[in-house]
Amino acid sequence: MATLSVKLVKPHTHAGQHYPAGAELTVHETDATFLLRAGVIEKKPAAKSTQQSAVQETKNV
Amino acid sequence: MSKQETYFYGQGKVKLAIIKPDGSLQPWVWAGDVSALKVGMSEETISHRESYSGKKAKVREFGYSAEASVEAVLHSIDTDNLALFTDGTQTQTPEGTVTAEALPEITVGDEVVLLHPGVSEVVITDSTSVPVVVEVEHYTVDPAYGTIVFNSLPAAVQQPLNVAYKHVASKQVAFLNTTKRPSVALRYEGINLAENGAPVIAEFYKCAPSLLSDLALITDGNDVAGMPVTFGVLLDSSKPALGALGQFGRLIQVG
Repeated sequence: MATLSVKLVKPHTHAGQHYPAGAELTVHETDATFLLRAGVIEKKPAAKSTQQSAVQETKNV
Repeated sequence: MSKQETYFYGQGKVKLAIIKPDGSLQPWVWAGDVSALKVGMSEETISHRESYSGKKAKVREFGYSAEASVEAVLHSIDTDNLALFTDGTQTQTPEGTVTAEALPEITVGDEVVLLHPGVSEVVITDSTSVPVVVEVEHYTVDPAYGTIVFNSLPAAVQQPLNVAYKHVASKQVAFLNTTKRPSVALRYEGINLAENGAPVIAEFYKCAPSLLSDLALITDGNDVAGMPVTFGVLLDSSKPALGALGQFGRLIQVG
């Protein structure tokens, strides 16, 4: 599936989990597009292929 | 010098200050528009009627256990006022964004409630490995209340559906959520319209707010809703028993 690793510039809630600004998430491209439009990320990196559907949380809370 | 008659027609502001555990006051907060403020006093009485004259006349009567209460009708039905009278706890949610909020299994006609009200830029996707966006023609969003009604579903949609959206800031009060109901000080800053707007102040140093008994959320008639509340006036033992302030409250005529 197409997922992207994105870095948040604003706090955000994904799948019920709250993430602070600075956290990195792996999200589907549609969510990345939404986050870019909402100003929660500054750029949308190229899509990557992964078997993992779960979101990875950066340990910076 | 003879006493000059005066009259009273009161308007004014009611302010409340929560009493902290150490007895000091939090900042005074205006309770918003208050359309009625009434003080009542009562006491227990002991009386005696004689039995020697044949008239059973009352020969003694005296009171004890004097007490006071304050009744008010508040019109600012907001989280600050509600928290005080519902044993409520307040929380604030800043504006934010949500992705991957999973919905329950949807059938046509279902209405779902998002976790936040005040939503915008709603995007719904399905759960295929490359999520497909559900076109807006399939659902209707009520942005203010954060609800979605599904009028139809795409032919080959894989559930659960996930929602992404922005939401505005909000604040809430959770009812009956604390056992620590604070005492408050009550201050009335009055305007006596019957005497050219003369200022008058009433203070009650320590009051116990009662639990709200009537919260009218569907309003009828031709007036806005009011929230009737009651305060039991308590003895403020931090003030001297024989001092000029008394230990319950006072009324001040200014000027």
